[in-house]
Amino acid sequence: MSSHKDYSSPPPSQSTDCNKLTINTQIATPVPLVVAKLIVGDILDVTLVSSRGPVQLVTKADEVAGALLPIEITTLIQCMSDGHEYKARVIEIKGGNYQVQIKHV
Amino acid sequence: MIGSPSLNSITYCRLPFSVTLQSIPTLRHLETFLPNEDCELLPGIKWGHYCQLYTPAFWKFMYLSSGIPNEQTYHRLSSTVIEEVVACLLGGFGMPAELGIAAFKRLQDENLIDPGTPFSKIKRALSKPFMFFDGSHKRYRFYNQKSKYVFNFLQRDDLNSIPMDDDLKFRNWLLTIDGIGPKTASWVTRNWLQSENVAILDIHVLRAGIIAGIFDVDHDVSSKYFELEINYLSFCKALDVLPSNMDAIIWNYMKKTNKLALKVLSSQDSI
Repeated sequence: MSSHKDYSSPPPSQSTDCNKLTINTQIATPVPLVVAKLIVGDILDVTLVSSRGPVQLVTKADEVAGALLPIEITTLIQCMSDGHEYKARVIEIKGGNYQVQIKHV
Repeated sequence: MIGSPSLNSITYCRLPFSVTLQSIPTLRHLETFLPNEDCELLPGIKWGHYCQLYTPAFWKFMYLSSGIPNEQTYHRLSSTVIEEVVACLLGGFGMPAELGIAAFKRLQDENLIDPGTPFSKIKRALSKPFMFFDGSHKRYRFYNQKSKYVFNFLQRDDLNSIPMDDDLKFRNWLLTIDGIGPKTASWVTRNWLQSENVAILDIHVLRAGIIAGIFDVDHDVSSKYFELEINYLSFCKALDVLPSNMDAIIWNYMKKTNKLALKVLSSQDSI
């Protein structure tokens, strides 16, 4: 932890390239009945519920499959807030864990 | 904003036990312990969804995922209380971290943090540019005013009887120092006594508090600092987190997402 929190710091770099952003992550809060129908290779819509999330993954049948863990979505939310769009591809299903890769479209 | 509990019989949602990173298989399992998002953490403040940024549930998640043990972290900047006060006097609002630290180090290295040091020497030391590792030169802003604060502080005749046996008495004493307000006094108190009874309410913590509903949008931090502090400490107690570690996490995250936080604050869905 920083012990200098009361010192001001320069604003963080805004150099993230939203077009190149790729995130591999698990689906948090998976909806069992929906994720049970997923297979590897499925493409999901990535939607921002409000300006601060959650970021939800939605199937072609318009069903919410789950959300994304907050620790990994800060940059994604910032990019989506600026109008960038993303899709998620199911890359692995192991037990109850659903791994997705999120990429810019 | 934390409201008044209307009935004593109302119970607010808490985690079932003290959840730690070690007590859950993976972070994703935390969701099984978190109360329903519509449940109230405190009067008028819902837990919210942990996957939604800046909600109380989100901060609890970030706290756990930070890996910081739920115990106090060492915060001191220096080895004596006099130096600690000077270090914090030289930092504060609008002062880049590296410059405040550099100014403090210069006074320390030149043995100027001493009651016998003339004002002119302190001012001269702070007025000279500072060179950094990247080769850049920077000037310490407000060096005249800050030199006066440091000089006046070092002239005090009660530096050998600073009340350090009680954190709040210590902070009250710090508030009598020219140039130190509630935030800086709380900062020194936190650093020096590892106090969990104070809060360092800087702009980032205040913004996070507004979004989470701890503070009113139109709060006046200059006149209501200690009321806001009570709200913040109640929030941390309800979340079962240490105020010191929580505000470090909030500060770092809010700084990192400054642009987004401002957008959220200005939007309808911020509260």
